[in-house]
Amino acid sequence: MMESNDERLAIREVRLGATRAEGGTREVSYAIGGERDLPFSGKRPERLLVALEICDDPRFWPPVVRDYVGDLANDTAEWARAAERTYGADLVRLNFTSTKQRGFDAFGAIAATTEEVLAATARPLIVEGSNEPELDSEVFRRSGEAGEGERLLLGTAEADRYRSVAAAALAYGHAVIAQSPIDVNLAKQLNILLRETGVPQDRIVIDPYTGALGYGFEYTYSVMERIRLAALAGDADLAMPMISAPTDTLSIREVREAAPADQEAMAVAWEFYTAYAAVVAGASIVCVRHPLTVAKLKAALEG
Amino acid sequence: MKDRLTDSLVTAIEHGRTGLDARMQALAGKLAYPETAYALPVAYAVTGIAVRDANGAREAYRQSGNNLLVACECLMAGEGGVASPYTGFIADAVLRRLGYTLVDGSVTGLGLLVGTPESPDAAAAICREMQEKYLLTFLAGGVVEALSGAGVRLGLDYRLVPLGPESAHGIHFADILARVAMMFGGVQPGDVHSLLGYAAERAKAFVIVFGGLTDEETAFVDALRVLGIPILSAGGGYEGGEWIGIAPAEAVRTGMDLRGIRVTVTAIPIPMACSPAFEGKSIRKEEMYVEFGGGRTPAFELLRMRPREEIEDGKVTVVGPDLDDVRTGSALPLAILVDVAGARMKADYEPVIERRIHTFINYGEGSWHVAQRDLIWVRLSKEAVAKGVRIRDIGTLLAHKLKAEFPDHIDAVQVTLVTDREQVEGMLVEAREIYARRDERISGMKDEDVETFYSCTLCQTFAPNHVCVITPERPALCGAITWLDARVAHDIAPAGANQPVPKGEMVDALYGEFVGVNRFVKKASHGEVDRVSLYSMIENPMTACGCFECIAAIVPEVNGILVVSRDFAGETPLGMTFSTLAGTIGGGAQTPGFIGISKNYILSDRFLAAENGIMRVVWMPSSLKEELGDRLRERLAAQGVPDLFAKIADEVSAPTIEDLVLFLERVKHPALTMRSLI
Repeated sequence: MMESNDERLAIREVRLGATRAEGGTREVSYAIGGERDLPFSGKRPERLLVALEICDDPRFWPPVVRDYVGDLANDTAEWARAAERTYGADLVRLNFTSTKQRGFDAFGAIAATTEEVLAATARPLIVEGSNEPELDSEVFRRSGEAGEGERLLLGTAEADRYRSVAAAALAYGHAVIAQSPIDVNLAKQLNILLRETGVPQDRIVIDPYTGALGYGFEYTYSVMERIRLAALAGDADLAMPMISAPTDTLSIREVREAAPADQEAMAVAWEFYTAYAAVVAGASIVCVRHPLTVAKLKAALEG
Repeated sequence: MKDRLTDSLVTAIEHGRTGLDARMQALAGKLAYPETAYALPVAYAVTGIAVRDANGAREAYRQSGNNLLVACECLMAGEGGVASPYTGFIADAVLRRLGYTLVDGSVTGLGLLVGTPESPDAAAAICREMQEKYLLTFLAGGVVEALSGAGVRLGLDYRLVPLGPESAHGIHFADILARVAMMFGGVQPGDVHSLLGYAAERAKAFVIVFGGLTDEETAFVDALRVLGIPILSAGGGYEGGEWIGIAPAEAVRTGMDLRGIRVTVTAIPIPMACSPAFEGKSIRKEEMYVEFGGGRTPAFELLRMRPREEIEDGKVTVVGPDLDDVRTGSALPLAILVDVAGARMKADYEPVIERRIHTFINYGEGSWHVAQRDLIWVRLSKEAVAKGVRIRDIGTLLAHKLKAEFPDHIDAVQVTLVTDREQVEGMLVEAREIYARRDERISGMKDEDVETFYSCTLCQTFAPNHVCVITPERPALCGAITWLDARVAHDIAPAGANQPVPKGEMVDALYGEFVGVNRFVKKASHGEVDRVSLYSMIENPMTACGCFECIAAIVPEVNGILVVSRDFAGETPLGMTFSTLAGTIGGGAQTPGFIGISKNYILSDRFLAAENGIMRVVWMPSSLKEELGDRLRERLAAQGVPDLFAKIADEVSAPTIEDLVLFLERVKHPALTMRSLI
């Protein structure tokens, strides 16, 4: 492909995390995006990032991961530390699964956990808000406020619930994950909605939604390809880096019903191949849940 | 008398200005507000100067063109804080949370109440209404004590924020707006233009003034108008100037109307679920409790614009028997009369919004709707009726959905549902007259009657360079968007995929080439397409995305054009199916000799005018011919060729090109003797 110097035709760079010099406390910050070509056809992006997902309430987490991490699952900060130091993740994605319990109102804990995890890791942090629209406003405000200055990546904005996450990004200087259900038009529409709310376009990361390999991943792949092609052809509303989280892979039948001895290998394999395919389709960040998948992905991406 | 009163406000403002001016000149010492990164925020936002002392204040005041908000802010900064329960200047950290709720939508707008109300109870009622409407209210002056006295609880948690004991403390309202614009709106200090834009469009605020303001306070309140904030005087005897006199009971509604603040209620209070998820379901005869229309009874729907004062928002009236009076499986007559009002509503939108009645009724889990106008057919399921659904609930559903889906255009909705046969039949006559007038308005509209066409670039995500140009006589190629629809869509979402395209100078009337259209298409196609002929399929035809209802293609052997619609699965005489043809012309390219079109365009006077239009059409699938049916016959009759209908071949009379040649020769199709297409 021809090298293009047209600024307009590049994917926007989004900065994640802030070092002390940048007003935060991270040891490193990342810039993702900036591509001018289809994946692997031009200049290779400087780094592809692997995030390990963790959560604050392991009751709502895949058993296959819980079995592997053991007691770590009960100490969110330690889990985050291990994600970085032991498992080698480039960044941590913190999920507030505690908000899934009925009648959740421990909003103070949201802020406290965000602060603890920020203290336990030195790398940029992705924070997933609540699973309940009614809780969004309070959860995003608390976590956004607790992470002020750290340039978090906050998830997840969707077409019918993006205001709280956008407000937190605007109020406290964070970036936003914009997720659409495997649909290029909806991805574009959501980005426009976010823009109209005031979120700068260099603070949006597209999540096209990732189906598990063998369970619809081909649709994801195709949509990612179309998003990227449209962006490179000059569609500014799609010119954002992409993030992929093949969460579904851990609950498919092949993993669930695998013989106990094979289950771990099956989970890791499924996560790995789906995530790797997402990188091939253009994802800048892939998020996985099994620690063993992290090392496998890092090896494959660096090799 | 009136003149003197009119003068009184203007005079007070002038006195106030003189007083503030003098105090600015006498101001001395250091000036600062606590816990903010925005210095004196109004001065900072307006001039870019971070004021630290009196001299800086005077410089900012001068640079702002002696703006009184800057003056009041500087003077207030010199006065020191206020005691609890008053908040005084609000720290950045707290403001960030307040601003968050504004962006997040949990607060719909901002209000400032200043002065001393004659009736504390009336002020308390205003506050209650502000709370109910999710407004964040700031209070300054005697109103705070009056409210406390009336037992109203104040504080951030109650969304009633007492700024200070004097009305002059209302200046903090301005510094809040300035900081919200800088924190959330990306407004750069010193950029007055974007500050005013933000205040006008994003920070929806209004002020309610009670009596007892000093001249300086009057001047300060009046100065807020520069931020696009309406000043409503609810008592106090202010008259004239630009203030709006209003009864206290009307104040909140007026303020919200003026600023376009709306409360969206997502949960619809009816005993059935309501979501797009149910749109596709049908209610079969066995599942149905009652039906309306569909040939069994007279039924129609009509949406009309009304003056705001004639509508009681949210009111639903049922005239005639409701479901408690009818047995399972019955049919009732039905008139669905929807009255809407809105500052930005236009009569042209009526039919477009009326079409949504179909969608919304289908959103109901137990309600079903087909067709439109006086052809409607509505059913309610047994299950829904057993759960308590009554006819009234259709009205509630419509009232809520219409407001939620058209928040910028519809401020108030009332719905009347009539099930009394005699009344429905009487109203039907009037409704039909209205339908006819509307049809005339749209069908009579010609491309030369308008100066602006509309674009559609919805499909650019998969056909990145495709641009649809929609004109009154050429609907979008997908058939889903007419010129009126596009205009409404642009009004509703100004940044959306339908943008106005100024026609500009005409290059060629027959081919439909316009300078403005070319300019627009060149830009919107990212430089790929320089010229477009709107009425030609050979010279610079319009690009196609992939959504076209039909494809028109040249058949060189017979010097004609065939039109094939998406639903026809067989082969055309060109030896290709619709999908094979579609594969060759889509993707946003210009393909001379082929073009994607909507069904309705076939009936237009401008239909491929450069190629002799409908006179050239030699072949269509029978399903398309049937669908266009009488409308096509009328069109041909109007052109003076009523017999052409029978001369258009189909897949039965001419399945192959050889058959087509023979058929056209036999019927003496006019295309055979026309000038050569190629």
